[in-house]
Amino acid sequence: MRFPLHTFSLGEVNPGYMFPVPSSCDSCVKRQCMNSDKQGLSHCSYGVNYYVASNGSVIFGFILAGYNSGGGAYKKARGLNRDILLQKKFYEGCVSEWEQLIERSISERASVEERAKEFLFDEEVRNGLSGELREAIIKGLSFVHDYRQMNTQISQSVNIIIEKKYDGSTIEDKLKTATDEERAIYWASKLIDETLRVTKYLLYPEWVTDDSKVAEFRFHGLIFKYFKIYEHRCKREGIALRHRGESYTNIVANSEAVGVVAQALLDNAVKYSPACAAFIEIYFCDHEDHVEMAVKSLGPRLSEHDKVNIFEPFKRGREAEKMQEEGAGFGLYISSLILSRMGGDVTVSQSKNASQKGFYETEFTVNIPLSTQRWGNLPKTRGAPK
Amino acid sequence: MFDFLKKEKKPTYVEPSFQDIKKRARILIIDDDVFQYLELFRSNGYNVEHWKDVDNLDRLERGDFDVILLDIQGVGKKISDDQGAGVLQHLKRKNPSQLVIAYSNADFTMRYQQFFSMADASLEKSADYSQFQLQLDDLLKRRFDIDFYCREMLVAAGKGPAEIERLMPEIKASIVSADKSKIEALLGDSISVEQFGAVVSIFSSAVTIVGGIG
Repeated sequence: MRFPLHTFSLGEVNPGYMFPVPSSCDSCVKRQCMNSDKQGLSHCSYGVNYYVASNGSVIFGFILAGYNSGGGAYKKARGLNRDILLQKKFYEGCVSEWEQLIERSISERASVEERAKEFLFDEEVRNGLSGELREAIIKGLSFVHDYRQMNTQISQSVNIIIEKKYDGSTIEDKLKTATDEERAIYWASKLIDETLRVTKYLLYPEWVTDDSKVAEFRFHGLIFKYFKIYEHRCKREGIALRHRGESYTNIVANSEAVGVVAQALLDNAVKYSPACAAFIEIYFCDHEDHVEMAVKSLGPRLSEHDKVNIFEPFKRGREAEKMQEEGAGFGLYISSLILSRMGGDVTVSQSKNASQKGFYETEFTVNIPLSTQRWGNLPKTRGAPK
Repeated sequence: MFDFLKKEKKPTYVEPSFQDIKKRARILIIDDDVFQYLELFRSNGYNVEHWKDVDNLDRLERGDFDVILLDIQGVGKKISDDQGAGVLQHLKRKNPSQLVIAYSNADFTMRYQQFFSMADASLEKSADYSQFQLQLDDLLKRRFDIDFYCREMLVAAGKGPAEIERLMPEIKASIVSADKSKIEALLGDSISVEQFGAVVSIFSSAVTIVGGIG
């Protein structure tokens, strides 16, 4: 796309055709312009101007004549970079054109996505695509069976230790008196079990609506199982895990699949939490025809583009990738797939301002019908920002 | 002299206590790998045998074991291409009242789902010992519950819920008295030969259990 000024959009730098890239931008490591949240005109520490657009993209590498807020750095940059000096009218014209381009591309993208959704929601197409994705996943996940076997050994061994050493009528009673290390091993093996179960639904999404798995169960009770599994890890990592609200409703669904969703959301919340003052809050609410659950935590910034992208397979938020090297990027995808097949959905919202150390309050909200239906309903929204 | 006045004592069945059931029950684990909970079960008073493969199919078909814990994969390769799953299918055909807990670290294909649904209970191999014990105890109680056999027989004969409730007392009496002719009289005309075979197989298992206790 040709634009007179240099731009940064969707993770890519696009040099403008009208002006050279200033030497300070070339050698810049900090990339203050590309990491800024403040919409509108600003300047970096080198005194070079930049503009952050409504969708988070950036026009950078220019000096605006008459800019009053730049101070000494701006004056110095203006002196050194006369070849990138823009007059106000020209600058305003570029910004206006840029914002219009954004608006057009959003509506085009929305229209393409809508058409893609109609196409993809065709059961045959989805099953075919699932098959292709499955082959790719199987190749990458060939270790899953071995890991399951290893985890079984660990799980059974720690079970034997706890059963033999401690008194109590249930395993939970016995765990209360077990050592920290024994509890850690027990809960870690449960966590691995749950994590490996995600691959089952990734490889074989037809399990979601398999009748043999659908039964009535207490939604709150199921989620609490995952609360307990993650409680130990959260305590170790200094994350305050809490819950709010109540749910007394039974739902008719594949409880294992619902568990995969809970596990994916909690896992992400733990993974992307800051090192301190972190929290994870699970919220429950019963509605007339569905149950609602939200998982709120502190996490990296999600751009508007990210908020849609993160529900695609193997995609992660830009800031999340910078933060965490590991992460396959299929937890939210599989959650979205499971929920859409159940007639439910998942949405994401994030606070506008960072709370502390650059982390934002992020909330994933899940809605599940009281009686899940076989695929046939269009999801209300898929990963749409609130 | 007064023998004619003596009423004939009807045979009765008194359900045993769970402690008695546990002492008497024979449990078999078929797993090509080490079954780590084996010693825990033994130390908790269960009589457990472990086979690394299907060593003696005849014994399984005869119902020598009260409950079988069966690994779906890795065993029974000489008997079926579906391994343990095929063994389960065969056993359920031959002896429908054989109680089986199927477990696995198996892959997740739906292909195995049909086999798991044939088992009386199923677990992941990484389940807690307490979950295995819970399922086992549940099936042991069922194994020594005469009502279980009555229902199984009537279900095998294709009877609906209302007929099952109606016929239960008579089926129970026939088991307690080990009188197969009553079964033939009650069900013989209204069911197929194959169904009758299944009914008789369950009847034989029931009589063996009840006869050993009553």
